[in-house]
Amino acid sequence: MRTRSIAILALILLLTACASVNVTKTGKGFFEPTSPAEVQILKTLPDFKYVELGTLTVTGFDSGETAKMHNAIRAKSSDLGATAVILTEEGLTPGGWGTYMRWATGVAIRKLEGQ
Amino acid sequence: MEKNRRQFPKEFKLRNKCTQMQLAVLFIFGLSLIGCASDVANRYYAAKQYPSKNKADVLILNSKPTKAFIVIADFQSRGETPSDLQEKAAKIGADAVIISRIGGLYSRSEEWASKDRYQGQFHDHILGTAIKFTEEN
Repeated sequence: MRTRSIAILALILLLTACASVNVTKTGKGFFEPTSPAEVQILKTLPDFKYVELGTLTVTGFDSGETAKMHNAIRAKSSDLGATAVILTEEGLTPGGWGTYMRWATGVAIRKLEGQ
Repeated sequence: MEKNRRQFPKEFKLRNKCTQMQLAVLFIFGLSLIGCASDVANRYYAAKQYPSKNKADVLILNSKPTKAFIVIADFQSRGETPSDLQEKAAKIGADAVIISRIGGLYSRSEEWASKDRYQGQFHDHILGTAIKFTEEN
């Protein structure tokens, strides 16, 4: 009984300490993963040519964790081979007890070589 | 006392039934977690169709091969394994399938962009890029 309670508590703690990044591939083929630290976060269209790789939806960050959310986007989009992510929408949803949770959607892109 | 003795088998049976039901519910829940693939979305690009191969003859890769290749299909789903994608790739005659795991949980205690303690563990989608090598050897 005690073990089960501890396991449930651990699961709840794990889930509340985590945000979620849903990534869906929309591009064709395979690109080597990139370095997450090099992935650019953009709010406007870039001036270089690119291919779209996939869409992202991020949820589960506190309203004040904007930069942390950007790092999550960088980490998860780098697996697709993204060099940048264009954030298309962002917002806040009520998280209970007067708090708000941050969400965002975006498009992972890869700069075309030679550009 | 006599009455209690008669009731005991009934209670035992009831408890047994409850345990069986709990097991059945757990089994179904387990199946829903591991057994089922969802959001399965595949794309086929090649202009022609290739003869199917044995599953064992299809390579499972985790990075881009050094040999030249063409992409013939993309597989995407939740809940499938590299072996499932290898089987799909074999059916369409691919030489190899490159596996990627994308999305999923991200720890809010991470501070560095290059760190992701849950990478590949709690992923959201599994991807398979089915390829044909364009040069021999």
